[in-house]
Amino acid sequence: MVTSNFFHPSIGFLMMAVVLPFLPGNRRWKWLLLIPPLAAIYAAFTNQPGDYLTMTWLGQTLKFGHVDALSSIFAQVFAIMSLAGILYALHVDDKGQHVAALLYVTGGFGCVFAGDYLTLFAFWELMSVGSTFLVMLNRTRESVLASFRYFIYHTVGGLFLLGGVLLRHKATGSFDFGPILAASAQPYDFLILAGFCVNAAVVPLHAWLPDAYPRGTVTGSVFMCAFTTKTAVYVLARAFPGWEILAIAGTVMAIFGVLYASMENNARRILSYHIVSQVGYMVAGIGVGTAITLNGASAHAYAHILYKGLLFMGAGAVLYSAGTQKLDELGGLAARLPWVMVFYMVAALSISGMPIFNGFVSKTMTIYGAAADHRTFVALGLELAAVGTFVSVGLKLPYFAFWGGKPTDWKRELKPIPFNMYLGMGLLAFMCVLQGVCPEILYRYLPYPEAVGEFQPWTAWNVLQASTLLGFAGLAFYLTRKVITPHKALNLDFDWFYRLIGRALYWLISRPAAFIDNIWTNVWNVVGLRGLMGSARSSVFFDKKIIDGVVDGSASGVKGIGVIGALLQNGKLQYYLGLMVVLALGLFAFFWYGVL
Amino acid sequence: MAELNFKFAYIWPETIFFLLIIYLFILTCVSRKNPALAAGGALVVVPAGGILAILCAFNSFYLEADMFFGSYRIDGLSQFFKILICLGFVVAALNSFRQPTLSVEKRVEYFLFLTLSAWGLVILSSGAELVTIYLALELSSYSLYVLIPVRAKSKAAAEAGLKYILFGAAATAMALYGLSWIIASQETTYIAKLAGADWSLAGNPLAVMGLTLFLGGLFFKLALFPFHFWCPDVYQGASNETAAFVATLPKLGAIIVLIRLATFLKPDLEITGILALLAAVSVTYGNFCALAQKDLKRMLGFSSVAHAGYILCGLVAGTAEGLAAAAFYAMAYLLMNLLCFWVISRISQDGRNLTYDDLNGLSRRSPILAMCLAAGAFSLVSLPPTVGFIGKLWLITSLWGHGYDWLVIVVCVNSAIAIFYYLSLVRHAYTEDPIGPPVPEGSPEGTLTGPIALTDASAYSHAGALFLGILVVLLGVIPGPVYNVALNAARALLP
Amino acid sequence: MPDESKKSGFLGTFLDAQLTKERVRTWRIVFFVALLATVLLAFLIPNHHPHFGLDKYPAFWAAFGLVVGVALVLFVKKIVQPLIKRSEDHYGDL
Repeated sequence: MVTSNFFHPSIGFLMMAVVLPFLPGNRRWKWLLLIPPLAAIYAAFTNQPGDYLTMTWLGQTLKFGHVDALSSIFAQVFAIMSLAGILYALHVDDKGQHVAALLYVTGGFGCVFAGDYLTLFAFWELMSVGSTFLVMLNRTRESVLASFRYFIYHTVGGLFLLGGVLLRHKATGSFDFGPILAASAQPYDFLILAGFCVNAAVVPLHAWLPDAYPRGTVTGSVFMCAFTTKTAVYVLARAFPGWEILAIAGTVMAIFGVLYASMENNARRILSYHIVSQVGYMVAGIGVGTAITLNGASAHAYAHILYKGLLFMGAGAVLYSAGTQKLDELGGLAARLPWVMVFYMVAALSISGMPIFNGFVSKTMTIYGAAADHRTFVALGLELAAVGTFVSVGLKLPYFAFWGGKPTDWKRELKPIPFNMYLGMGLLAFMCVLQGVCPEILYRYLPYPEAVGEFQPWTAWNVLQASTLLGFAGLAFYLTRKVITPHKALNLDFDWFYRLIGRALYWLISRPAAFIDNIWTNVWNVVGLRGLMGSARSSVFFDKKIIDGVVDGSASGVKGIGVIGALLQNGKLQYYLGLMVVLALGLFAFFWYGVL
Repeated sequence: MAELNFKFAYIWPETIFFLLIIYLFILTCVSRKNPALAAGGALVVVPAGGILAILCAFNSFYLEADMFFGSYRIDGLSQFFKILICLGFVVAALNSFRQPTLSVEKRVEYFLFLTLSAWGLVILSSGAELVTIYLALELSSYSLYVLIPVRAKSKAAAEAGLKYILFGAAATAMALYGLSWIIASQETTYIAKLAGADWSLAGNPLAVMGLTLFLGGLFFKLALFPFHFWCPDVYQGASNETAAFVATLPKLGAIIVLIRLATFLKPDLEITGILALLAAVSVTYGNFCALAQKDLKRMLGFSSVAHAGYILCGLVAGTAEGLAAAAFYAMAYLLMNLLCFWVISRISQDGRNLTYDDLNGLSRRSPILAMCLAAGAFSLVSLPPTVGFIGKLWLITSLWGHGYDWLVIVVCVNSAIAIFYYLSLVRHAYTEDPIGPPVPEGSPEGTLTGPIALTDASAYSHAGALFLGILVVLLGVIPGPVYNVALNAARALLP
Repeated sequence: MPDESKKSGFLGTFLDAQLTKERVRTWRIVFFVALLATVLLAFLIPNHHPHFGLDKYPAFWAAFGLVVGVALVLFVKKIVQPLIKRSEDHYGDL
């Protein structure tokens, strides 16, 4: 199949995932893991817009390579993140985790480039499976149970999507993946929206995120934080721009996330609630739907992947080294894990929107866009969430993890952190600073270039406003630092409802089913079994004596004929030549004269 | 166009092969002192050249030209077969690198003749005129005659080589005689011009008989009954690797010529009737004889007689779909057989002939080789989802309804009969206990003894088997693109 | 015992050295001076694009940050968490 210059980044990851289990055991295969992300980076920066890799299969047109400005920017950041994630995970010897991560990334790229709903659904489910294993392979009871809940929940989300897609096809006759207008929305569009919102962790469908992400492997959660939710943001941006309900939902998510993050004790759960909050920014931007907020949502997604990945890497490094991620058990680690602290703070300041880091150039664009569209409550809500972000992720988490008001803890045993983890963190930190200082390298790739000029991040007022806001938020933290101290607790979230529904369904199905099954078993034992055994005996007789007799007999007969036929091949050349001539001329003659 | 019309850019595959031949020839002359080094050089250059030729053939896919006064035709069909021949050549050459029965001094010459034979077949793909076809056929045949006896200390190989030469000589003499009758009656040898002539027995008996004799020479290459008698003996006598080449590539050459000639074989002609009859007898006879075989290469020899019959079914129908199906099945045949021979060559580490019992325990020794062998066997039986299934399906559907329904029934019944001996391969590889002395006490779990334990289970052998195995299954699941190419090429011949 | 500060010598020892009472006091003073500077600058650098009425006042964002931050923490820790707090093994997953 000769295609024009389009290399689908998924191919590298998929091939690597297929080949990896067969590679021999010594550690040299780890170097090969770097090839797919590097190829993906190359592809993401050189792919030209267009429709590639269309294939007809069973009567449907599948488009695997829909490249435009929106998918290009997401592909770029996915590629960079995949490189950082794999660098971070190089020390892992468990091939299963690598295969799961590779399949997961394959799904992510596949979704970004999908041009029709069928392709999207296939890669959506692949992502779901890959990420389930990233949680399960942590191999603790907690993680395995969490992975099951995650998988069930995402399967339900996928079914919403599938239902919507199929109904849509029945109504419109096409699987094409493009913008849907809010004014003409049908029930099936809402189903598709629900499916997307599950992966985007829209409140109230979000509770899987803080349930599963803290329980994944140290390296697996780094991958997960980037791909599932941002793929959902991408598909929402493509299909549902300008839907009012998303603007409201996004603002609710932003505030909800920071509220819970301020309460939590588990470091990675704080970050997970944060993902809900930050994705809220993006969803709100998509909901407002102007060119500048869509740019803002894309820019924010790009920056978010980078700094959220770095945050998870930092928290993961602490978990790896100290053995725990609970903030009330940590503290006094700044002097012992100084570089982890530095990299973490780079990400923390990025996520808060401090000037010099990339959050400043992306987050403010969304808020500015919302304000420019006269959406006061959205803009204020997002600013509120910005304050909360800084307080919980930017200050609370690092303060209690690295300082906590305690002196440096020299007695605690810390596992040395492998160099590749620092490399991964360094790569992302570098990108965060680079984008913050030169926003043009991010703005260049935004999907709506005409709106880029409206917003300049590096004005005196913007810098001052951001610094002031963050500074006084810091003061708020300082004043309430005794109140915000984390304690061990589980905070009820919407998963209480999910478990309730799950248990109710289980009870509903199993009680009547068990009752009927009981009756049926009795009937079967008395009546059915005897009848079955009797008919089985007569079938055996029929089969053995009659059928086998015929079949085996005819088979040996055929073989016998074969043996006789093979006797013609007696090895003597003169017989061969003679037979050839006689048979050939005989057959020809039969035909020429017999038929005529 | 009756002009020279020489376009160098269109014949890159042939040129690459020619350059390879020159290189190998010079290498044979200068490598007396250090044959191992020369063999190493050939090891790199030959597959590289083959792959390069494949790429060039891909590049020239949509070109069309009549060169050398209309006797050399570049079109979709010729390029399709060139790609197949180059691919088969690369795989067969890679297969021949580890040949236990080939001494180091003879290696470079071995590859020289292998390349010469492939070159002849490549030229054959483009032949549009009967004398060109004949010459190319002879070029490829002579190169192969030399290779058959090259098997260390084997009288059987020498005997096989002699049979091949003498049988081939008789067959080509017959073909030449037929060619003379065609020239006498039709006064031209260009296929394009022959297509418009009268080919009915009542109208032009000399031409019909001449064509039938000429086809006899082609049927010898194809191993169709009754020109097949050399086939099992030669496969059995030649070394495993040589048999891999002989079993697959010359057949492709014969098939493309038959496809070109099929443009003037309408279903109601007598010639077509003869083809159908020969196909039916070939299929039946080949299958029945294969049932009785114990030696694997002999079995594959008889099975190739049957497959020759299957391919001919596509030509009998007289439609473009039939020709495309025949071309597609030729590709399928190439892949399936190369796969089986690859596995056989890897199992036979001392170069001896294998029987069914030698496959016992393969699934324990090398699960990947066993799985690929199973894929090849399923494909030969035409079980879904392999390429053999889809190929045979298209052959049958293109044949049904053109007056040869009896042939379709014969093909189906024989496919069922063939299940026994093909699936015996799988049965022996997976379920039978390996032959060999009992494993000594205290050996690790899964140790095997006996001949099967020597099987080459290196990455090289697995890579080759997996490549072919994946192709066999992949083309069975997604056959559309390749079949469309063949169909377009066939439609250009037979609108 | 593995000791991270040995690997990144200068940074680890520098950070450790910041934990003394004098240093903490110094950093606190730096922090408050910076806050004061931002408030003063707010009077010098006006906001050219006020979007809602209140943010044309220079110190709006300072007040916003402080008030919202404190309110958020108090609301969450004093009001919300006591209602939804449960034991860590409430669902039996651990």
